[in-house]
Amino acid sequence: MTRLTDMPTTDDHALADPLLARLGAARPEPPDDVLSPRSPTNRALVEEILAGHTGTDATPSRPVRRSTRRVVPRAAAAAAVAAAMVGAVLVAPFGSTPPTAAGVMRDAVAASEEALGTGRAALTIETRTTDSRGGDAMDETWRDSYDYVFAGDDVAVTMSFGGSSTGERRIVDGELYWRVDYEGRSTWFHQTDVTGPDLPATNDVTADPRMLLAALAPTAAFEIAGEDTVDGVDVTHLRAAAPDAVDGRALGLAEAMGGYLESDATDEIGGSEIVGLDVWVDDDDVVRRIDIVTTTTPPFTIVEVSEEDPGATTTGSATRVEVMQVKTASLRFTDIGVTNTVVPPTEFTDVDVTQMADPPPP
Amino acid sequence: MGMDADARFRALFESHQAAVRRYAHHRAIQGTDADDIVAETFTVAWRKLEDVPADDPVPWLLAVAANVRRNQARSARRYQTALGRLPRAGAAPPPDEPDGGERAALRRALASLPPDDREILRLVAWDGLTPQQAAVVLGCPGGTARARLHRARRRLAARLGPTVKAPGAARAGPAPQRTAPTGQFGDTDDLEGAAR
Repeated sequence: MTRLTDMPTTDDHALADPLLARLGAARPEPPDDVLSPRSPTNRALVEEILAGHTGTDATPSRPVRRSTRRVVPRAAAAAAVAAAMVGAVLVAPFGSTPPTAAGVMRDAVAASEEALGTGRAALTIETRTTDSRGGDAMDETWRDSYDYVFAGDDVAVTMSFGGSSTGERRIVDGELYWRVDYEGRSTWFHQTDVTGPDLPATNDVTADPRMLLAALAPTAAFEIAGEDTVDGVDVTHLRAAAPDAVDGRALGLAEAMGGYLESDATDEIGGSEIVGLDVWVDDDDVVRRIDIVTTTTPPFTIVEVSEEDPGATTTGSATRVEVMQVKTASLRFTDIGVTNTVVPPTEFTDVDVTQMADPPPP
Repeated sequence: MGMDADARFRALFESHQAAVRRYAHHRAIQGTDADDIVAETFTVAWRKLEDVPADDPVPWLLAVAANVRRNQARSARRYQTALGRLPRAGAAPPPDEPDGGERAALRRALASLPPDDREILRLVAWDGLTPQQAAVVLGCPGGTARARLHRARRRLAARLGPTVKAPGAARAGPAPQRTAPTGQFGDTDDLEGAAR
């Protein structure tokens, strides 16, 4: 039996004890860039946390609690602004020069974050599946749509999947409500904890699309493509020179892109990549439209078996067909500056998320 | 007071962000999950700045990080239960040293210990806390933390066997690998698996 008096009495165990010292030497160390409090992301995080404090009140204001999933992307957005500012300085250190893409993106990230506290957005995702024989049997197009309403941190989104089923989600004061259509009836459900990875469990769309621009800005190498109009508004059109450099899994819109950027299915079909990326920014530097095109890469293969020969997969006579899916997402921001209110549903049912493996009964 | 609070918070973050980041890393939490722990911990610190001990803030911060981690792990469990999905990317455990030497052997031995043993050893040997500070994180009396450390240290030594030399001794090859008996992992305090 161990006696307490056998135990070291000093608090400097890790230094005084040879075994603990050796264990200490074996500790894993994070990369230097995340340890530095002065890294762009960490500096931005500090500013984000302090953002609710005006410094003018006698009592420090307490920031509204946000999901950390919001805090980190917002910090990343600010870091992107900082990175873009560095890029802008490098591009145009002296005198008056035409606007650079980096400068436009820098301003757009900052202005859009501010302006899109109000307004609406519409996202459509069109999925086209073709096969290597010219697209007969497998050629089909699927269209999903999402209509967002923004009211500060509150968001409401109405979803339509292929025109055949619908759903709705609202986040109000950090509380999540969602409605599912089930055999012709609808019921609202409620989950209080909207932080962490529970959110994807209950929704196909996890993203606030306002975060998308900041996520795209640092790596896509945007170039100015020209002047254009979106919904009658004059805009600057920017096109990514390196869309495939964007990590699709890092985008807040990954879930809405049908899961092909981040899902179990990715392993089955060989993954996907972003092949086209365009952004339109208005004269107030507010993003008006974002288009993203993704494709499966490489094309995945299916085995087509005829009804006349159901054993073809074992006899070797089955036809192997390469299938490719191209997804085109188009996000448009509208009604910017128009104040909205997102309210909870009048009736709802509290749900334990652990019971969500199957659709909840109406 | 506002500006003072700002300055104090900035100083707190500047001095101790790395400790919270390391806390997450030492428990195999990386990527966005680690970002979340840092963000949430310091958000709480800002909201409760007057509660943060000015003279010794690290144990307080790590206690908050531990709570955030528990919530994160619970959410991960619910998520996996609900959908049966794979863990999210970016939360892989730190890789072993390429040489497979004593560092890797020590980590394996640590990983084979019961969760309570692992935690007290990590708090002291990896996070650099004294047993008294670790007690703050664990929410137990200082004497309890010391007793836990003593027992954990003894079990770690037993796992490693005689091949681990005293500090300064020449490396004599990897320590024997041991695996945990079935059932040793997976209790409610073993948050690593759920967080991955």
